[in-house]
Amino acid sequence: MRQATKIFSSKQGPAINSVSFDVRNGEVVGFVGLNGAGKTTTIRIAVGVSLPTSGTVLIDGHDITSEKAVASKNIGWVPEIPNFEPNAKAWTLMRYLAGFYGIDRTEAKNRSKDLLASVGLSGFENRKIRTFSQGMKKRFSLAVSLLSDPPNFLFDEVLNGLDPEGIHFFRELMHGQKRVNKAILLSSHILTEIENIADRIVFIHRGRVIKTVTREELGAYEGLKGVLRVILQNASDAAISYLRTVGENLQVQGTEIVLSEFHGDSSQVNAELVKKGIPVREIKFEKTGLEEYFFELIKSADAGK
Amino acid sequence: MIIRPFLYDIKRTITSKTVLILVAIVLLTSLAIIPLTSIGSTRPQNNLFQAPILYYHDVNLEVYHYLAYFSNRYGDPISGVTFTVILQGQQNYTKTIVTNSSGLAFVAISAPNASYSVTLNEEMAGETFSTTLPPTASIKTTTPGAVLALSGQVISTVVDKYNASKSDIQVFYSGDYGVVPSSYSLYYKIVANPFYCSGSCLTEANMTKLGDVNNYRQVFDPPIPSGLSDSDEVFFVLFNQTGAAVQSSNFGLVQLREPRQPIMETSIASFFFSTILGLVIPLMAIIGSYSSYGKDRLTAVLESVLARPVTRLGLATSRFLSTVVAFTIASALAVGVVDLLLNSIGGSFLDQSYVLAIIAGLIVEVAAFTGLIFLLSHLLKSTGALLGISIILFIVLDFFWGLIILLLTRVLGGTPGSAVELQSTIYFDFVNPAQFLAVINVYMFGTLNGIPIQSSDYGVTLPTIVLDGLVWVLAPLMTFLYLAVKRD
Repeated sequence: MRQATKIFSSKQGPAINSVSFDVRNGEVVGFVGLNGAGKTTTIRIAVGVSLPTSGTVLIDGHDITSEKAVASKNIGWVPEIPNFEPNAKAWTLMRYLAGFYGIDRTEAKNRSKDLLASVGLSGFENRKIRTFSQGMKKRFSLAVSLLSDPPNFLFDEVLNGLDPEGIHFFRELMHGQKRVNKAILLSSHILTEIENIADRIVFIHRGRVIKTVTREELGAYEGLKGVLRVILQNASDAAISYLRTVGENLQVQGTEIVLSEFHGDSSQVNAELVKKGIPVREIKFEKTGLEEYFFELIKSADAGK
Repeated sequence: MIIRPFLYDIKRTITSKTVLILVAIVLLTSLAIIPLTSIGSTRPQNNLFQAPILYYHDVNLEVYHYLAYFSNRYGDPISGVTFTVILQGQQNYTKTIVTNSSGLAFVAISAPNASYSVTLNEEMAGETFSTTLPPTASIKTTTPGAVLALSGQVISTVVDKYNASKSDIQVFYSGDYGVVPSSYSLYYKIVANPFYCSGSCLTEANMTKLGDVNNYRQVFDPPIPSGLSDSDEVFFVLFNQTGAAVQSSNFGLVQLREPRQPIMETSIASFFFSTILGLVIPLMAIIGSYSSYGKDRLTAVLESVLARPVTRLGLATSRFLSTVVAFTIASALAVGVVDLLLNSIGGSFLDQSYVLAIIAGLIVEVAAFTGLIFLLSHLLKSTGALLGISIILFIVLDFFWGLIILLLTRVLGGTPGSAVELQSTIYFDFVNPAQFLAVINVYMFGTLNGIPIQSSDYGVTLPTIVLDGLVWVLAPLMTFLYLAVKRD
């Protein structure tokens, strides 16, 4: 995406402003922003259902605006709120949409059956879309996005409305697609999910890309930030004095000690405590890096404004 | 690469359940012509037309021969007509024959050569006609066995079976002694009226041959060139093998070519097309357009299709074309059904040019309303607003148009039936796609609100109609396509 700008109304500012970023093959790019930051607008432009006021989007070298048909063939899109013909049956609609990719009837039939089964919609083929729950619609949308086995995926808040099994399924799917060298753009406000899977993260705020970081860069930042929760058999002074050396803002709640600004490796802390003869019941490191990083970025972006 | 999904989407839209149901409704609407025909028509195929009666007298065998042909107004033979010849003299002789499948009745009465008064009785389905022919003694023939026409016309006009708005020429004749005619030929000549003829002005040499007559009854379709005056006349002459004229007739040109005033079937059809079909088609086009595009666009369902390998222009065009094609087929089928029903009831098809004009008019109406609804779906924000505006548009253009014209006429100082009202009606009909068929009817029949007019005086000409149709097809379509391609 190069310098993409979208202005819905001249009375309002641009919904997105000079947005530029790449998603390469075999890469998952997280797309993070607050509500109204411009994530969905950006993805809709990238998919070709919305027109940019200016700028270009190239899908495998094809302009989504001027070469729409060719470019769209290389995209699988799962929108935040899938919107299909409500009175169509899943089976019929799937085969109809397959027709746009030049998939012949027999192949469309087989592929639809397999894909619906793979997303857990087996047995719902003849149900009308309007009877589907939001999660089922999302699964159906995913099945449709896989119809042409495209090299690029755009998932917009794809985990919203999914049950744990659905989230697990999506996560596995993204890993699988990444392994076979597909390019994936994943927008989500569940930052831990982004952290776990994204190779790079694009931060967008008030319609502008404010930062793009790699997993490594984020990891370095995360190394400085985190919450360490240690549950000891006995919160002894020795344990507290030691823990004060590895972090700040220490709080003791019974046998649980919380270091809200932890600077180190939790496994090393565990080993050191054991070495000191302090029995450890549980030690847990919660990364708050991405969230904090994100909020800091927003703060500085707003301050810069 | 691009054309396949385009055609695919057209096929999908045309075969969608909603469109198919609407098409079925349009077709069912065409059946409404049946009660209309029962009101406006009296089963014309049963009307018995005065048969031409041919006669010859075999003096040697003392047999009086009468040959009759019974037909409907299209010249189709009517079998089962009871034909009775009564010779009344010192003795009475009666003979009854029932017409055969060719509509012919050959009556031969053996009676001494004498003077008889002759009465013919024709009876069919309870209807009886009685005709008195010249007494036998008054009929003199130049050659033995020569055939004479005693009643009706040997050369007559019949309604064209394939074009109820024009007439054909029917010849009913026989050779000497009642044999099948051979080597007879029919010629015609178009002349200005008044036509002064002195000498041999109507001969084979200075007339145009229409065809050979090789049967008792034959129908000819005389080619009438355009550009002639309505007052011109056409002379038809039947020549025998020696080139001698044996029968002739002349008809005004307006009798043969498409008349200004439509005959019954065309009149019923024009009423049906401009009122009932002209009402149903826009309504179906509005509902179909809402279903195939407007609703999908305003509920963002269309995006699930737009995300596929299809261009914005392709998707917009395919939806428009498929809607127009579906309702064009429905309209053409409805017109065809009406034509077939009128033919089965009345015996004749409608004028082909009129049928084509009506179908073209319906296409314009469908395209205009489809374009308007598609266009509105890009300007409005909700399905409710789109439906509401569409219904208001339909009601105003179809139901309140006459009232608007009436009020305008009042404002302009005109009264109902005045020239001001007629001119206002024409102008307003031009700017209303729902009235396009009404404009076509004005052009075809030269009548408006039942008042005969010179349509060109009111601006209703072929070029203005074509221009109006093009504007109604292209203006909404182009605006819609612009919005579909250039705006979200």
